[in-house]
Amino acid sequence: MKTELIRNFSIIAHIDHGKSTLADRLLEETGTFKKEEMVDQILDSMELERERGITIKSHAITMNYKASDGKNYILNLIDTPGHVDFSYEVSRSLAACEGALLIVDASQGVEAQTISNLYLALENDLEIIPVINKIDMPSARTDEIKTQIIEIMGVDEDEIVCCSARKGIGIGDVLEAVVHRVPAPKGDPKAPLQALIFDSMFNQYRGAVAYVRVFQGELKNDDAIKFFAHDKTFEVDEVGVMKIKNVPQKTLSVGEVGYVIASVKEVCDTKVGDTITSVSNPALQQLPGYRDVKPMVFSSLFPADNDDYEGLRDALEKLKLNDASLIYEPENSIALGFGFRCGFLGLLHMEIIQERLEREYDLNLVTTLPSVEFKIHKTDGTVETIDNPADLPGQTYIDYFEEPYIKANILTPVEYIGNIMKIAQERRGVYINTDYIDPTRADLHYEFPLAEIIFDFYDRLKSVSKGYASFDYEFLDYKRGDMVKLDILINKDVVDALSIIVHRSKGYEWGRKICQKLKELIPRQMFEIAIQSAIGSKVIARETIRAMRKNVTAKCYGGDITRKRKLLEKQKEGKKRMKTLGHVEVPQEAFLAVLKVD
Amino acid sequence: MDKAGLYIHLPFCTQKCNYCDFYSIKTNPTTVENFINALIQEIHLYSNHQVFSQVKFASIFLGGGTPSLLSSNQLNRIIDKLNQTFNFDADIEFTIEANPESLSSNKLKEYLSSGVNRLSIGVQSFADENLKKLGRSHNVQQAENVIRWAHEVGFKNISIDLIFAIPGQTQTQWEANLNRAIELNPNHISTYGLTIAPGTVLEKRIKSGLEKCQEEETERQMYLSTINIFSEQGYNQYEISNFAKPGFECLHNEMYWNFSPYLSLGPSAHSYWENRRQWNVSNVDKYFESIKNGEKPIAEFENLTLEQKQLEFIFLSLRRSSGIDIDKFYQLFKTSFLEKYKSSIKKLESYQGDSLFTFEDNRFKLTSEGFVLYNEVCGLF
Repeated sequence: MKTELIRNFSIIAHIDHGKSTLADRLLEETGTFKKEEMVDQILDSMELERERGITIKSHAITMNYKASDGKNYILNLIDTPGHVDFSYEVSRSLAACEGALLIVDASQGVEAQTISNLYLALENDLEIIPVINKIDMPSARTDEIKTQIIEIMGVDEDEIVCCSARKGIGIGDVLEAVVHRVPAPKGDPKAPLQALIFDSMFNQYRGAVAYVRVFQGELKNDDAIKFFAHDKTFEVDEVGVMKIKNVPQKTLSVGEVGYVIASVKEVCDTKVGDTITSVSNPALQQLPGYRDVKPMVFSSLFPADNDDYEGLRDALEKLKLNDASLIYEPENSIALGFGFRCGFLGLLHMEIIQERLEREYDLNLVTTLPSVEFKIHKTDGTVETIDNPADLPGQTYIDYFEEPYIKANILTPVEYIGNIMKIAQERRGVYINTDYIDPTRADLHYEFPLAEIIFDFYDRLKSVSKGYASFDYEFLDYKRGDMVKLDILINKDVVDALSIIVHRSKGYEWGRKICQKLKELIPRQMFEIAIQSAIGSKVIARETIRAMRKNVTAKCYGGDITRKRKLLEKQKEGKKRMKTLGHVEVPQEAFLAVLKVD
Repeated sequence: MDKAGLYIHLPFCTQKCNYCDFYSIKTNPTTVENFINALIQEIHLYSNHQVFSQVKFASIFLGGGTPSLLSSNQLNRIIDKLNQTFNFDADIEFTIEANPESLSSNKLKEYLSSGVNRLSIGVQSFADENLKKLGRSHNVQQAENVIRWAHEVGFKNISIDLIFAIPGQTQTQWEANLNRAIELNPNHISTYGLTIAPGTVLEKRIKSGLEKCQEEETERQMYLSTINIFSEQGYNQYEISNFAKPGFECLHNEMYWNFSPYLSLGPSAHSYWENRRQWNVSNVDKYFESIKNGEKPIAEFENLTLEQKQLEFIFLSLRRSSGIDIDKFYQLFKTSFLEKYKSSIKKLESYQGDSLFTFEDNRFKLTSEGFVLYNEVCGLF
C-alpha cells in the first residue's frame, strides 16, 4: 500500500457528543459494514460500554474509501476511550494518528473534555478537523457553536464541517475532509522497525493481541520481535488489519495500522505506549511518550460471602488478562476477612471493574471507600507510600503527610461560577485563573487534592450547575497535607474497613456525619449498637441504635403463612448481603457510607 | 388421614376501617346475592377433589370482610351446599366472624339453629374513642350487647378480638380493656398490636401528624401486661396473640399452624394440602368470571420445597406456646433442629435481656420475651 493513500485518524469528543454514532456512519458510508450487519455503535462492543454510552477500551478499524478525486484511500479509524481515567490511553491512540475529528455537539457546545482532548491532539501535532454534530436537533445552535470553535481553535469558519451522524447528513463531507486535510503518514520502510502499541487485548486462544501503528520499518510474519518496556523477545505468528473480522496480511508497513499476534501470554507484556522493534535490526530508540501507568484510586474488594474468595481471585485474574492497568493484592481485614486491595486508574475504572465482577462473574462484593495514595514522611526520615488507611503507622511515627494533587479545568456557563467556586472551596481547591471561551462560558483552572474529587465531586458539580458544567483533570504533583486517620467503632471495636484518611479540617464533620449515616443504614437489632468515630484515641462523635424492644407481630392464619414465609426468605437473601461485625449485622452499603455523606 | 378445616371468605363490609388493608368491597344486596350463588358453584367445583371430597372436616370458619352481614337464609343455602358436598365431623367447630353492629339477638338465635357454634366478635376496644380512631362502625354499647345476647341465646363458645397500641391509648386504658373483657366472660380472646399498614387511612393520618404511633416501649408493656392479666384470670396463652380458657383453643386456627389440610373458598382465600399452597384470585370480578366459566378461581399455587416447609414449620411452631417439637422436626425433615440451628440458638442465648426461649421436654419454646421479639427471632432461622 502506498503510504500517500493512507489516512490515520481519531475521533475525539466530550461524552455524548455523538462520537460512536459518527463512527458507525463512517463505517456504513465506506461500505465497511453492510447496513444489515450494523449493530448500533459497533466500536463500543462491551455491554457496559453501551449502557454507559462511553468507550472504555479503544479499538481500531480499517476502511476503504473512494474519494471524490477518484483515488482509493485506506482510512484507519482509531477509537479513543472517552473518559479522563484513561487519558494516557487516549494520548497513545492519538500518537498513532496524523489527524483527529474534534466533535462538538451543536446544542451543548464546547465542553471540558472537548478542550482537554483538543490539547492532547495538539500535543501530538495532529491536524484537527472541527466537526459540529447533531445539527438537525431543534435545540442546535450551530452558528453560536461555530463562534466558540473559532474562538478556541483559531480556525476559519469554512474549515468547520457540519453533520448529523444520526440522520446521515454531511458524512461525505467528513470523509472528504479526512482525505484532503489529514496528512499521509511518513516514514522509512527500510529503517529499523518501530511500531507503536496503542491498545491490546487478551484472546483466550491466541494470547495478548497488540494493536499497532508502524512508524518505520516493516512488521512481518515469523519475524523475531522485542518490546522496549521489558526486552523480552517473541516470534510473530500473524499480522493483519482489522475489518469486520481480523484479516491476516503478510506485512504491516509504514503508516499502516493493524494487529500483531506473537504468543505473548499476558497483556502486561503488550503495554500501551510501548514500541515493538525487530531483534535482527533493532531501532535504537523507543517511540516517545511511553509511561508506566500508575493507579490513582484504591479500594478493597471483599466477597460478601467469605466462601467466594477463590472465585473473586479467579475473576480478578481474568480481568487482569485484559487490563494491564488493574492491580490487586491479597488483603486480610479483621472486619471483612480475606479480600483484595485494588488499584484503579480512576473512579470510573473502579466502578467498571466492580460492576464487571458482579455482573460477569456473579460475585456479591463488599467494597470499601476509595482512597488515594499518600506519602507518609516518618519521624525516622523514611518515606512510605500508603493507599490503605488500615496500613497507616501510629500517629507518633508520622512526621507529615503528602497527598496527590490534580490540575483541573472546569467549563461552565458564567452564571454558575459562584456556585462552583463555593464547592471548589469546600473541596480545598486552589484557584489558579479563568479563561473565557466566549462571553457566556468560562474555563476555570484549579488545583485540587485528588482525595477531594474522588468521592462525588462530579455529581456535585453537575447539581450546582444544572448539569451544564463539565470537568477534566490531570495529575499534578504531591503536596504536603494535614491529614488524620478517622476510625469508626461499632460497639467499641474499630472496623478497619471503615477507617479513612481525611484532612484535619474535615475530621469532626465527617466523623459526625458518618456516624449519622451508619445509624440510618444499620437496621435495629435485639441489642443496642454504639457507633463512634475517633481520631487517635479521642472519640469525636457517637450515635446509638436503640435495641429492638417490641415487634409488631401480624396475625398468621391461612393466607398469612405464605406472605410471612416470603418475607423471611427475602430477609434471608438480604442477610447474605450483610457482614457480621461482632454480633452486629451490617449491610454492604454501610461500607460506602461516607460516599453518601453530604 | 388428618382432619381438615374449611374456610370461607366473604369480602363484604359496610365501610372500610381506618387500619384495614385487606381486600374487601362495599356491600350492596345484589352483589351479596350474586356472591352466594358463585360461592355455591365454587363449592361444587370441589365435589370430586382428590383430598377434600374424601376427608372429614373438623371445622368451618366464615371470615371476612363481615360474614355477619349474611342473612340466615343465605347462610343456610351455603350450609346446605356444604353438607351435600363434603363430610363433616359430628362435633364440628363452626365459627362465624361478626361485627357488633350487624348482629341482633334474633340473628344470633338463627345462626345458632343453623349450626354455628362459635362466635368471633370484632370488639377491638371497650373505649369509644379508640373505636373512632380505628374507624369502626360500632360503639362499646353495641359490642357489650352482642356479647350478652350471645350468652343469653346459648352460644357456648365466644371469642372476642381486641387491638392494642391504638394511637392515644394509654397503658391504664388498655388494662381497663382487658379487665372489662374478662368481666364479660368470653371463652377466647385474641389481642393484636395495631399494624399501621401502608396505604391505610391511619397511615396517612400518622404521616400528616394528625396521629402519633405508640412508642415501642408502651406497646411492649401493653403486650406483657396482657399475658400477665389473662393468665391470672385463667386464660392461657396458647399462641402469640391468642388466649383461651382450657379446652376453648380455636381448633380451626390450630389446623393452620400444624399443617392440617384446609380448603378455603371465596376471593383471595388460601388452601393447603399435601405440601401444596394455593390461593384464589382476590378480585371479586375475576372471581365471578372464573366461576361463570366453570373454572376454579385459582390465582396461583406452589408446592413447598422441604426447605420452605421447614421454615414454615419453625415460624408457625414458634408462635405457639407448645413451641417446636424436636422429635416431630426430625421425623419430618430428617435432620436435628438443635444441630442445624446451633448458631442461631447461640445468638438467641447471647441476648442480654430475659431469656428468649426455653428448652424442655424436647420442645423449643419462646418465652414472653421471645414472643415480644418474635420477628427478630424468626429472622435467625
